[in-house]
Amino acid sequence: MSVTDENLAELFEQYKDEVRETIETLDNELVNLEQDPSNSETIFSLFRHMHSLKGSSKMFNVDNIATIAHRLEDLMSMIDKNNAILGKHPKVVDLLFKGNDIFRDIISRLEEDISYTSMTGDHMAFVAEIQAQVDKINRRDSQLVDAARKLLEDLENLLPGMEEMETEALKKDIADVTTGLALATLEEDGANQIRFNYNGADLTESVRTMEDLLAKFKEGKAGPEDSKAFVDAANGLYSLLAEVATEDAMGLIAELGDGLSLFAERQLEMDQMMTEFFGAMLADLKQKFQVEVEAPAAKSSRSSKGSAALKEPQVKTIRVDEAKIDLFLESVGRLITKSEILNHLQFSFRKAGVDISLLRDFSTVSRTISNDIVNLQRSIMEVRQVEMNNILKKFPRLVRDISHKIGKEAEMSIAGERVPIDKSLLDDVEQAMVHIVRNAVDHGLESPDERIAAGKPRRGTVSINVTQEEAAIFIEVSDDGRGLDLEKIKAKAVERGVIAPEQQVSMSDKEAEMLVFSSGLSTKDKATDLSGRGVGMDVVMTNLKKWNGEVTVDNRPGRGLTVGMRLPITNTLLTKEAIMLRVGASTFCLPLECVNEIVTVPRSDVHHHKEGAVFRHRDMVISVIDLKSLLGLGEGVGRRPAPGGGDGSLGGVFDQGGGTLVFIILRGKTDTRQSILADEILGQQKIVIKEFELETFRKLPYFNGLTLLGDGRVVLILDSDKLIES
Amino acid sequence: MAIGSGQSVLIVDDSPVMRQMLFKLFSGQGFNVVGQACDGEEAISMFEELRPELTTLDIVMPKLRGTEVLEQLLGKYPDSKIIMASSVSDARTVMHCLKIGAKQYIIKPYDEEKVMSAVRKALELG
Repeated sequence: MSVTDENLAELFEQYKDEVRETIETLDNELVNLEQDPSNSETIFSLFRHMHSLKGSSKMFNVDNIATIAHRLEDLMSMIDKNNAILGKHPKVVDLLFKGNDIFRDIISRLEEDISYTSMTGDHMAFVAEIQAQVDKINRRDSQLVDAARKLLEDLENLLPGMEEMETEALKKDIADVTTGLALATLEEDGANQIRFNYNGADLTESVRTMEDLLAKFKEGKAGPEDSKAFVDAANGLYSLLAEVATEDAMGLIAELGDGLSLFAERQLEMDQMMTEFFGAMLADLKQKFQVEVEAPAAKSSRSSKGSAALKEPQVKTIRVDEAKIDLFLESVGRLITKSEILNHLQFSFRKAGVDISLLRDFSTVSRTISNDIVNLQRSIMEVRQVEMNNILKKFPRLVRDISHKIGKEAEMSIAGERVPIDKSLLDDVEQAMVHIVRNAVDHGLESPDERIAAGKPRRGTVSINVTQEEAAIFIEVSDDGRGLDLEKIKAKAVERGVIAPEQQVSMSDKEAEMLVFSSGLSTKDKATDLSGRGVGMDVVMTNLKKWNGEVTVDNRPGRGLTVGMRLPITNTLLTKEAIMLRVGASTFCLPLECVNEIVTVPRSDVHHHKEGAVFRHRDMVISVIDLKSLLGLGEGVGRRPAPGGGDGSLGGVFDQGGGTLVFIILRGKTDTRQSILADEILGQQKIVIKEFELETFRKLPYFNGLTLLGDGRVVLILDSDKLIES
Repeated sequence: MAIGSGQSVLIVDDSPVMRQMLFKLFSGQGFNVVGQACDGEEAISMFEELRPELTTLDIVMPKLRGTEVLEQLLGKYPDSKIIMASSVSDARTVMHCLKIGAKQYIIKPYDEEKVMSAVRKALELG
């Protein structure tokens, strides 16, 4: 029996999740590293995460990640030992970022194809790139050795003349350096053969014997006599080195001796572990001799408790298939619909004159059920909640990449990582935030020179602050850049035909600020490929509106900009309060948030112009959208008199002189001067919005979904913005 | 034939997926996994609370390295049966752990056979 494939398959999803989390962490740590290259905490954390990535990827046979992580781990370990390397080789960070991108790519490909685990040409090219970097770092060290050797020769030439000065101490120092250099003369020639030349002792043979035997063990071809040969060779090496090695190297050799005795004593088998163990020891020995000359970099004073600062509260979690929760949620959606049936029944009972005490009991039961369902819904919503950190952790990297690309310097500050957010909102909120943050860096922040000229710190700051309010999440993105130039924005909006020329003057600052969210507007003189050409910020509006969110803008010209987004917590199940209305023979519903006001207007006050009907309300001219002709609802089909006595058709407005008409004034994104005429308002109720599943329906011009009523009827949901645009 | 007979096991690893894998493995072989710790400090406090008969210990972890955990635990409870389970294959670390008293040292990637063989030896199950 082994860890069965079944077990592995089951854990594979978890493995992928873990890798994704690690990638995000690495991204953030890399951003930190770039800002503070000598921070040993950060360096160690990078090393640790790379290490665990290697470990788990090995377990799951994901060779490509394991191999690359292994190489990067080695690189990190070099840096960990000598963190001055980063100062000399800033490219290392880019390499690490690139590695992270490759991991990310592999994980997303694994989604499609679980056999995408071997090294591709690109991966090998990347490993070669890492190796080149490692060589470069080492070459620098060997250049140091060369320089030291040169210095030494110079000193030796000087020595005879210094004899009289009796500088014994100096001579001793020089002798020590000579010994060190002798160790450094271990050379590697072309054919990958190591020639050990340690003060005359040739170690090559015993090392090669050991390596050959280890290879045999690894392949599983070794017999008991090989084990003995190995121990003999190791002992040979041991005694050979014991004669010549310096005190420091002796320590290592003693370990080899101890290793051999432990090997026998604890009946450790010559299995993969032991071959790795002795292989590693051998490599270590070689390495030891090679790097002897380099002053062992003072191991950073990272204490055992040093990384305690990384303390994160532990949250116990269970993993549940997302689809199961969605299914659960869907059932709750159906329950809500059912509870509306109860309301409906209650209404019918009352109409039918059912006994009042019976009716009261029924109403109590109905209310209890309805409350329970609301609670149930709430707790599922909580299950679906994830922390904002899921989104936020992507931003340091994003800001880093953008600012690098356009030659700006930016710092990121983030607060509110633990605020919970519904999973279904994640994508839309993230997309909106990406656009805002991009704009903040690209358009908001000035170049370092401009900033200094303006008396600001060279490096700009973009901060994200997420707070939880009673019934909403509030996300604030601020920058300390130049703010919005409203005149420029208005001029551009006129030029692009977004607003009429006369509006340029009459528009309030607040209105002008909101223009940045309209489509097709960019005030930056030179459009970059980052923020595009004004495409994007309108996405912010679209996405937030979908979840009933609001956007606010706080513009501080010359000092910065803050964009706030408020998302209600409760509406995420897409249940909304809506009014039901009848137009002709059809029933529609209109979410309450789309309704500005419902007004009853005397028929005589409605005027008909060429462009359509209008009426005055609170000093505003409200135009009327003719649903009947828009939707092709033929007149006279099942026509019933509206409460006001009209027939609801606009034609009739002029034919009949008396009575009143009911208009619903719509609350649009920008426009609140449009209304629809309803033949009858049927009432208000909670609806569960079902988005259209068929692409064909999604293209319907005036609707954004449908809902099931308590009596089982299917009703289309009107979309006020789509209506206004028409 | 299960190898274990209800012996208590504490699993220490900072990777949830590795813990999960060891958990399945031990549970499937008749051991009783009494705890899972995800960093060095937790390892020590859980060990002191649970006093498991067997512990698997990762090395590279947040807060406290496994080698230090090993040292502290063996200093206080010299008879502890601890198996190092890590992808650190550096000779000195391996040596160090075995020398100060780790019963066995298995290097990732390990399979069930390798883990159980180490367990047998550590618990002297013959």
